[in-house]
This record gives sequence, C-alpha cells and structure tokens, in this order.
Amino acid sequence: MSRSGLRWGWFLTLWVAWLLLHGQASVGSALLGVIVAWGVVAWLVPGLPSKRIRPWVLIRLGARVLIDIVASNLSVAWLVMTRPSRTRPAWVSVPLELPDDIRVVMLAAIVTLTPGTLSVEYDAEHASLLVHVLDTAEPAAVAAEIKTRYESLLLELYA
Amino acid sequence: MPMWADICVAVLLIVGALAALIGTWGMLRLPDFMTRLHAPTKAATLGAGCALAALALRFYFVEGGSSLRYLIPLGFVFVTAPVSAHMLARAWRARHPVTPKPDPAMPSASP
Repeated sequence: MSRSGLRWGWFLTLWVAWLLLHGQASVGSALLGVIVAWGVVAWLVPGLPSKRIRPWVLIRLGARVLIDIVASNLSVAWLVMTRPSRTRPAWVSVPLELPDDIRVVMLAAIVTLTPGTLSVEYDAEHASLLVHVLDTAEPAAVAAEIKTRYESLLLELYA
Repeated sequence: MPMWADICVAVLLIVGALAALIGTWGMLRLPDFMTRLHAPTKAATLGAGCALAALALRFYFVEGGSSLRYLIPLGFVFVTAPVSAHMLARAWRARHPVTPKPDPAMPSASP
C-alpha cells in the first residue's frame, strides 16, 4: 500500500474515532475533527506503523485479550480467596519472534494486563521476554501459551 | 432508562467493585513482593473496565448519542498500568538475581 494511502487510512480512522468519542455529531465537531486528525497525521506519521494493519486480526486479538482478562481475573480471584500463602510462583523466559518494537511492547502490555502474569524485562539481545507467573505447576506451558495465544496473532497483524 | 439497562449497570458496578476488593485483599495476603505485584492488575483491568462500562451504558441511555468517550480512561489505564508494574518489578530485580525456567542460554538473566 502506498504512503499516501496509509495517510488517508489513518486520517479517516482518527476522524471517525473523533466523531464517535464526541457523542453527538455536529458540523462544528466534524470540522474540528478534520483539523485534529490532519494535525496528528501530519506531525506523527513517522511514528505511526507504516504497514497496513489487518483489522480482522486486530479484532480477534482484542476479543481474545478481553476474554482472557476476565477468565484469568476469576482464576486469580479464586486463588487469592482460597490459598494466598501457597502460590507456586515462577520466572519464565519466553523466546519471541516478533520483528519490531511496537509489537513487543503490545505483547508485554498484554502479558501484564492478564492477571497472573507480569512481563518484567525484554532482553533484546536474545529476543526473550522475562515473565513472572503468580501460580503455575508447569512454567514451560505458560511460555508456550503466551506464544500460541498472542504472539501468533501479533505476527499476522500486518498485511 | 429501561429496567434491563439498570440491572446491567448495577451488575457491572458490583462486579467491578468486587474485583477491586479482591485485588486489594490479594495485595495484603500474598506472601512476597513479586506475587503482591500481581494483585493490582485485577483492579486495573476488570475493576476499572466494569466501572467504566457501567458509566458508558448509563450515559448512553441518559444522554443519547455515542457514549464511547467514557471508555477513554480505560485506554489510558491499559497503557500506563503495565509500565508502573514493569518499573516496580525491575527495581526489585536489581537486588534479586533471577533464573528463569525455560533457560535459552541467557547469561544476562542475572544482572
């Protein structure tokens, strides 16, 4: 996809988001939205991802993260209520294949937002993420799950 | 505001408050620093998420139009909460060397 096509994609996305966030649509807010969206695209384009995002993959990833946040909230709540002093914490190092920083950041944020796992450090030299797990019987399975559930989708994110 | 919306708002608020309460309880009861660090992520995700979803739902019926703007704080929480947890964990790790389990030959694991 061409550079200017990407600019238009970002511009339209930002403008629609502006209108949705504004609530009631009016001519004034629509015009202000044009100015704001144009300003963001003009000033921030080098920082925006320069490849086309597959929306369907992004939606699937978002849904999966939300479901996992609710599910792991329940399991951690159960753990806290029943046996807080007998947790089985573990340090796990997850080898990653993600090629760029922005997706590593996304994965690290997802891991932390899911209760029960915290991302602590990214080792750029070995491309591995150090994760602390609150309670697990087999740490290797946690690493495999992070890779299959989130990293595989992140790898497909760009068309 | 219809009855079912009232019920949804009430359920969301109660679930969110319970998540925050259990997160706080966890922070008190878990045994050490790293496990305690896990507890606030519950309040940040399910707690804040449910409270803000209740807010958006209620004002969708009260004000009409799109009420997605009440979910903006959730975006900020989701972006900032991992950063603070990350900084706290790093600070702890600076004093406590760590060996991860599936060890891909990483000498840098212990600082």
